[in-house]
Amino acid sequence: MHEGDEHTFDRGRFLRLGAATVAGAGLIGVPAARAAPPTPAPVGDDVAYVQFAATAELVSVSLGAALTASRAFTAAERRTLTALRDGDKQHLARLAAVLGPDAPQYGDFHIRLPKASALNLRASLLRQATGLAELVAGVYCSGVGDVADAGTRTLLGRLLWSEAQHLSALRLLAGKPAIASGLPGPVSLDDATPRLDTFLGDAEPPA
Amino acid sequence: MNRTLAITAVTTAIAAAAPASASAFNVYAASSLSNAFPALTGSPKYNFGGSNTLQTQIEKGAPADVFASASPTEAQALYAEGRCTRPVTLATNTLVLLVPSSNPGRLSSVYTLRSGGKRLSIGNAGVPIGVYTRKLLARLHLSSILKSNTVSQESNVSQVTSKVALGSADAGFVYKTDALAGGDRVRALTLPRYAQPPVRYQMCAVIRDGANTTAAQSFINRVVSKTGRATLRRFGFGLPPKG
Repeated sequence: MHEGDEHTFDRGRFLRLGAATVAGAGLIGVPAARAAPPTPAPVGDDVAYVQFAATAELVSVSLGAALTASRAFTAAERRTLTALRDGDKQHLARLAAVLGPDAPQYGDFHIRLPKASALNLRASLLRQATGLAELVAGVYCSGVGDVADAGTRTLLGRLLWSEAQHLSALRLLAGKPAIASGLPGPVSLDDATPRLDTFLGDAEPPA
Repeated sequence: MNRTLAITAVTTAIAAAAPASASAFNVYAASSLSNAFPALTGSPKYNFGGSNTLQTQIEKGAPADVFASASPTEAQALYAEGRCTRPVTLATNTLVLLVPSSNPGRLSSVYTLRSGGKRLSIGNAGVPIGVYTRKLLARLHLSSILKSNTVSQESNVSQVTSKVALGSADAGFVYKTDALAGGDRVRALTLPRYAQPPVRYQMCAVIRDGANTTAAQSFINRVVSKTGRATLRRFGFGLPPKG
């Protein structure tokens, strides 16, 4: 019996969704052949959504590293998790390109990943990853309705679409249904900020 | 008698414009370093002020030997002009929202400022603390608070701290180190980490005729030494990676 068989989710469905997510993530980085999306040029406080999202994706990449390194997942699951992490890296690169020199760097923060329970490592890691993906998708959703610049709005919309698939893949992996009843609701930056800050500590090298 | 007074006034004005003599070893540094640097060494003559103001003074020939700015912009500008050596990063910092200890504006977080009607003190747009503050507010989607509150703009961070400590402002954006230096008169409210702009201090040895380059390099070496880093940390600064 394969170690992954003990979980209740539909493996075939999960792997198909994982493949679709990877393909979707690719669309973020590669302009569609039919119509070039408008170049994002955040106006005024539009930058708040881009900055938040870039930092959240930075955390997501780090959390993804913990997931892919964990023996709590099968080899096939880890491949899909790796693809999800690659998608996050693409999101981060796209957002960093918009922010330029103001883009967050790994050295700017100490990324604090909540301690996963040793007793139920798999569930704990997935709960953290799902929570973060829900938060990011909610902020993308909020940003789509709020930003002034059309290019930034388009970018956030594309990222929302990709993040929703990412979230679905994580939910299936956790034995929960994929997002079937619509996208996650919008999350305001005010509400999202303290939740993201739980992952961030000051970067403090030794004296 | 009148002539004597006039000479005295002129002499005083010159002294104020050039706070240290050309023959002394002079360190021009951002206001926020005004506690840490003298604790590290008392031997240089210090001139603390807004980084942009100090940069302008050096460009006009002020007798500085070392320049330390609260953002890379000013030091890098002097380096690009051939007026100082390649800048090195000596410290980092973070922004906080400072309120008087009595907190008359009843601020519980930066978001309280959305309600408007408060007296807010910030750095002007030319000085690093002012640039950082505006960047932070944009990242928090809070630039509107600069219109909904009564805003006074100061030319350096020490003036912002003083206004809050004296109760002339309900709140002000300053560096964490200034909040620590403010003691019991003030209280610091933390700001979201993701929105913090990277605050990096840089310093360089000034290149000019008659500059004391040996003393300047010795001072820079002391600041980045183990002792220097420990002193900066003691005053609340963050530290860049070694090397």
